[in-house]
Amino acid sequence: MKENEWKVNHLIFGFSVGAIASYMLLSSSFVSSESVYMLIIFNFLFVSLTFPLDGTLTRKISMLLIGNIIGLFWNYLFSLFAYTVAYYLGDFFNTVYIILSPFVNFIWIVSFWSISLTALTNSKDEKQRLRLDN
Amino acid sequence: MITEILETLFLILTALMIAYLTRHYIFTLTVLKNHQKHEKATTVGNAAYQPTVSILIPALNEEKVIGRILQRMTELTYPKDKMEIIVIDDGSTDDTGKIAEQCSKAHSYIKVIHRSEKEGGRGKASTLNAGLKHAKGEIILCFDADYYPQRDILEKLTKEFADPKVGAVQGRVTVLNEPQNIVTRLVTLERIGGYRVDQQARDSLGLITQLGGTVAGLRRDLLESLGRWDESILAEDTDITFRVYLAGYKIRYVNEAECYEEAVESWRAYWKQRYRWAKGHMQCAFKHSLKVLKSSNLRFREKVDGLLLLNVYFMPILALLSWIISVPLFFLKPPPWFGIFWVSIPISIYSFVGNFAPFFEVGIGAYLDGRTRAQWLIPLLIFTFLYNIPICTKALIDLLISKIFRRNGNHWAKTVHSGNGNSYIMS
Amino acid sequence: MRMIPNLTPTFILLILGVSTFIFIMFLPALLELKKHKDAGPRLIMNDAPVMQTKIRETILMVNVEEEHRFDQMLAKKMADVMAVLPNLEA
Repeated sequence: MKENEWKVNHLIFGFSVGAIASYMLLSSSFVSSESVYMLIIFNFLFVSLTFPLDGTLTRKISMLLIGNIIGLFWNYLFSLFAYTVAYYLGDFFNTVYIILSPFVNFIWIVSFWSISLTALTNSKDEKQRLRLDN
Repeated sequence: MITEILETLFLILTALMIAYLTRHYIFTLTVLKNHQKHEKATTVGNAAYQPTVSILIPALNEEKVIGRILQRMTELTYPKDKMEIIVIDDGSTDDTGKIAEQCSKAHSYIKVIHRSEKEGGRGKASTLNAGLKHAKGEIILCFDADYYPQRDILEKLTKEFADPKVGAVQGRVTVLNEPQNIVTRLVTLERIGGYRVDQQARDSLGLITQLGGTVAGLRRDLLESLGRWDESILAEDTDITFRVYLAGYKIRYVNEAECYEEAVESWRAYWKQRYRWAKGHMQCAFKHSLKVLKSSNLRFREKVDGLLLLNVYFMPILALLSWIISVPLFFLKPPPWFGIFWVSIPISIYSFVGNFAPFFEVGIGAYLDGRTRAQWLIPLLIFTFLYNIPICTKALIDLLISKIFRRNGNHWAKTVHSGNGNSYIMS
Repeated sequence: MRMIPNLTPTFILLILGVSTFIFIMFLPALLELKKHKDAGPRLIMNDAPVMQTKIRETILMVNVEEEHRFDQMLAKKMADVMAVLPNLEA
C-alpha cells in the first residue's frame, strides 16, 4: 500500500509539472501550435505511462524535463529548417512538410520514451538487487 | 462544398483513430494498475480440474519442426491417460508424416491422420475439422507445429474450464527465434504488446478476448454445436472467437500459460502471413459486425470492443486515407480544430501494426517482461506500419473483388518454418 | 519575406542538423540491432512462477556491473551453508 501511495504521489506531482510546462508552452509565442500539441501529448503520455513505474521521482522528473527540452530544440531546429527550405522551394515544400512531418515529429517522442523505459528498468533491477542483498 | 466533405471525412477518420488510441491507452493503464496484483496472484481457476484433452497439431510440410513439438508433447506434465495428441498431416510432400508416425509408434497417445495431397492444403480450418472427427477429449487444444510449450501448459489452460461459462481459453505466445534478424525482433515487439498488454487488459476488463488459433482451447461440445471451424474464413480463430461470445460463453486469457513460436523470418513471409490475417479478419468483420450489434448475449462494452476488434485491420487503410485528406485540407482552408486532430495521425502511425498494439503498449509490455533494451527497437515499428498499409489495402481489394464476383478467393499461403528456433531452446 | 544573410551555409547546416537529429533518434535502435544486449528470446520456464522469479533474480544479479557485490553475497551464502555442514556431520 505504501508503495502504491508514493506512486500516486509521483503521478500527481508529474501531472502538475507537466501541466505547468504545457501552460508555459501554450503561452509562448515562439512555439508553433502543432508543436505545442505534440509536447502536451508527450507530457500527458510520459507522465501517465512512466510515472507509475518503479524509479525515483527525481529520475522521472528529470526525464520529463529533458524530453521537453529535446522537443523544444527539435521544434526550433525543424521550424528554422522548414522556413529556410521554403525560401528556396516555395509552396512545394509546404506539401513535403505536411506529408513528412507526422514521421519526423513523433520519432523523438517514441525514441525518447523507449529509452526512458530502459532507465526505469535499470532502476527496477537496482531495487531487486537491494532486496536480494537484504 | 469540397472543403466541407473533406472536413467531415477527416473528422470521422481521426475520431475513429482516437477511439482506437483511447481503447489501447485504457488497456495499458489497466495492465499497469493490475501489475502488482498479477505478480502476487495465485492461480485463477480450479487447478484440480483436469478434463480429458485432445491436442490437434495441423502440419503441412513441417519436417523441420514437427519432431520438436512431438518430443515436447511427451514431456508435458499432464496425465497421459487424460490426453491424446492428433497430428493431422495435411498432404505433406516432405517427411512430416514419417516423423509423426515414428513418434506415434513410440507413444500410444499420439495419433496421426494422413490426408492426401488432394484432400489437404485447403487451409487450417479444414485441417482442424479433419482432426476433430477423431478427437475424444472434452477439451480441444490447438498447437501449430512450430510451437514449443511449457511443460505444465495444459494444467494452466484447462483449469479455466472449471467455470462452465468459459467456452475457450487462450495462452500467451512468445517468439523463440527472436534474435534471428530484424523481422523476428520486430514481430516479437508486436507479440509483446498484443499479448502481454492487449489480451491481458481485455481479459481483465471483461471484453472480447481473442483466440489466436494456437495455444488455444475450446470445449468440444461447444465447438460441435457451433458447427466446427468455418472453412470459408481465412481467420478461423477470429471467427470462432465471435461465435463463442455470440453463443453466450466467454474466453479467458491465461498469461502464465506460455508457448514459444517461430516467427516469420523474412519480409516476404511477413507479407503472406499478415495478408492472410488481414483478409480473414475483414471476412469476419463482414460476417459478424451486425450480429455483434444485435446480440443479446453481449454487454454494451463487449459490443463496442467487439466492433473495434473486428474492424481493426481496416485502420491502416483509414489512417493512410486521413493522412492523404489532410494534405488538400491543409492548403484549402483548414478548420480551427484541424491542428488538434491532425496530431492523431503521427501517433496512429506507431499504432496500427501487427497485433495493433501502439508503441506505448509495446513499451509497457516489454517493461513488465523485464526487458532492458528490446524497447529501443520501437521506433522501427514505423516501417512495419508502412508495410502493413499495402498489405491491408490489397487484402481489402481482393476481398471486395471476390465478394462482387462471388469468387472463392481464399488461398491459404502456408508459413514456412525453418527450424532455426531449435538453436534457441534452453534445456 | 525577410532576407536571411549567408543563407547557403545556414541551409547546409540546417540540413545536417535535421538529418543528425533524426539519425540520433534512430541510433538506439541501430545500436541494439548491431550490438544487442537484449536480443531474447524471453525465458519461459517450465516450472512454477517461484522458480522463474528465482532464476530471473539470479540473471539480474549476474547482469549487474558491480561483480564485487555479487561475489560478496555469494561468499556470504556459501559461508552460511558451510556453517551448517559441521552440524549435519555431527
